[in-house]
Amino acid sequence: MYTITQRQLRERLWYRYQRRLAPYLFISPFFILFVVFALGPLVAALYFSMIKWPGTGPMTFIGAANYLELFEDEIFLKSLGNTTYYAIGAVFVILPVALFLALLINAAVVRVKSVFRTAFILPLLTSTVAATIMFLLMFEHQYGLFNVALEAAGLDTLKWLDEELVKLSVLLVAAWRYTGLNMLYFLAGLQSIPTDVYEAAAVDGAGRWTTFWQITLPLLRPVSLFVVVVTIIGSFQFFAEPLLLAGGGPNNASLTIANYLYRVGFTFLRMGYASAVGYVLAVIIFILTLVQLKIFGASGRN
Amino acid sequence: MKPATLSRRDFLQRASFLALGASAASALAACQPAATVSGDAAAGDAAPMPEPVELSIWTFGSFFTDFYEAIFPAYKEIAPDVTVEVQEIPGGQMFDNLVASFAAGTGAPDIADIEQGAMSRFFKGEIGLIDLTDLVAPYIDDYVMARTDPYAYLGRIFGIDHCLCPVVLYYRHDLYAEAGIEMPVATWQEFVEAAQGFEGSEAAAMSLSERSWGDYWMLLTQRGTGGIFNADGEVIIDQPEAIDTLSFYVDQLTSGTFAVTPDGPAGYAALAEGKIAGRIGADWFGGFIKLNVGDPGHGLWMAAPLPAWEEGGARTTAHGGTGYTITKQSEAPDAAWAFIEFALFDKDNKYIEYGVNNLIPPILSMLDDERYLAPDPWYSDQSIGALYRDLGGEIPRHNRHPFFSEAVNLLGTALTQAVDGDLSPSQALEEMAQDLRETIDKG
Repeated sequence: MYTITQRQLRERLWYRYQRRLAPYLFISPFFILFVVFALGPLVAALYFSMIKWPGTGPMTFIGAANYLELFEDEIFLKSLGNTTYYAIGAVFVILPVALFLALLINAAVVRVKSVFRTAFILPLLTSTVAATIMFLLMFEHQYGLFNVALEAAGLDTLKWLDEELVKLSVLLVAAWRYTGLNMLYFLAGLQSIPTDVYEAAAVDGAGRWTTFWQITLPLLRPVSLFVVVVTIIGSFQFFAEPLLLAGGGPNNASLTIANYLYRVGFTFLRMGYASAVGYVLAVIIFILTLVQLKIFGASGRN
Repeated sequence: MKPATLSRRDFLQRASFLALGASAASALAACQPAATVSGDAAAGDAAPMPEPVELSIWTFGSFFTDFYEAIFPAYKEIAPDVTVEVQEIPGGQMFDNLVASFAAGTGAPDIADIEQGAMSRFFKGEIGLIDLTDLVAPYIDDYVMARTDPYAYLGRIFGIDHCLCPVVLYYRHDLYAEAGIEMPVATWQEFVEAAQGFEGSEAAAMSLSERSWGDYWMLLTQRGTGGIFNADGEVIIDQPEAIDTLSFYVDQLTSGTFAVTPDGPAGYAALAEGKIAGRIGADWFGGFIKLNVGDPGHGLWMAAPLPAWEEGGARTTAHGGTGYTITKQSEAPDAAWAFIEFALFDKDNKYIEYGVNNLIPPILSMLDDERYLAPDPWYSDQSIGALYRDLGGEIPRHNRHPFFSEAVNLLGTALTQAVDGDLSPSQALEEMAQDLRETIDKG
């Protein structure tokens, strides 16, 4: 009869558990980091969003009061409107321009493609602060380059950073900075479309316009989905440019939700309220992303 | 603030000189006040510290870092057991880090340089800074106490400024002479009348910002009414003096008597080209003008007291500044205060700081020092230091409040509304006062 000692038993068990545990051990760093830096703060922020706390001293639980205040807060609603403006501008102005540039560079007639690719990606590599300060100089009412150009053309000068135009100015800076990156995404998408599809279309007598609508755009759908989702998320997290260009002003005319979150959190020390702003922002982004996935049919059989 | 105008070699030389003058520093130590942070012992009785002490300083600009590093060797001579380390954290990030450290209950430095505009947020909740009121008390006869105002709330002082930051009117004396303006002008009303001399010329007597609240703040605090809050912490921005000041501000801009200050560096271009012949600003701003206008302006500029709001009224105010504070997380608050005293109340150290960052000391007795009084060739051989000295004692007091950040944010909106003509000055400030009171009530 075969018997095993206690020691052998322990060794066998350890061997068995070791083999079972090893995979979990290998993937654990991600989960530990996720819990510490994502899930933990997510849960903590939900709790913070229901308290009143200036960063020190006792916390007061106030339930949904922060959320209720938020929907009556004119500055928050204004920042929501501004952010939506930037998101719409990004999707309906920056992305079509980026697609157009990608089509242009992808066209056989354009040479030295790498030069164009580099030229359009350069703004993204430039320091946000330095670039925005340069734009600040160019937008200046009396001495700025844009108004000097308008004057030279015999046109009226514009107050680029006034309440009426500041959002457009911020959008121009964003366009300068992010069009190139989106162009690269589209270019990668265009270059992954098999050429034989175009050849088949040409044999069938499809013109350029038909080819674009019937082949290029549908086959770009995965890339377009990615670009639109990333752009909208980025727009709702838009922070540096409006802050540097106009400090969120004048009269909060360029303020984004992310700017407002930072202001109430770190300047006004309303930690609970800032958490509520953050949660509302996250919910908006989540809903918009779901809607886009639905529209593009990414989650279903389509 | 103004970057270094003193070369590294210069201030290293001065640091060596300071080390040689350790006996003078010892004399300073002997004059230290009796109060201590912990209340354990009088500083005059202080024996060498038995345990090595490590002090940490957070600051946000290289001009402060350079100053600290220049005085460290001399401090080592008089306090060999104390090691001081300075950490430079740029811009607003330092204040964000301080907020996070107070929230976490750990990680704050012993000494934090807090820019005056960032200070009042730290009055909220449990204040993480040590009350310096008793420590500052021995200096109140010599230190310009208005320079503690940005760091004080309801009479308790939590910080003390590096600089005097007196506001004067910098002007092009050649253009003012052409316009027939004789400086100094006694009151703002007279100044506006005199400024009509610029009518028909390309230049304006001075400019004000169309968007930023800083110029309005200077004019308002010059009146000595307390600013946005009174000493009890009540909102007073809708009082007649504040409305009158905003009306004056808006009138001069809309009538074109004063020009609109161009945004950013273009503001200096307008000064260099002579399109704007005057600006109000603090001592550090005078350094900015000199630096940015440069050689073309050499000998063309001078400085004068601000016109008063009424005969005999204050001819200056203060603008900007950075305060020394000690955090409650400090394990060596007495050593931290001793270092602040060394840096702030020693005349040679203050002169080193002046060389590095052009900041005039807020200590009246130091301002008689010949080194500050030397004529400045760029400012037409005027002794700008003498002007600052003469005005230093006139800086009016004002009040801060835990909701000061919210207040100035609302003030920016009120200013925009009034300048754009969307609301009258009184409507804009009354609306602001109402919003501010509601914000404070909400807590």
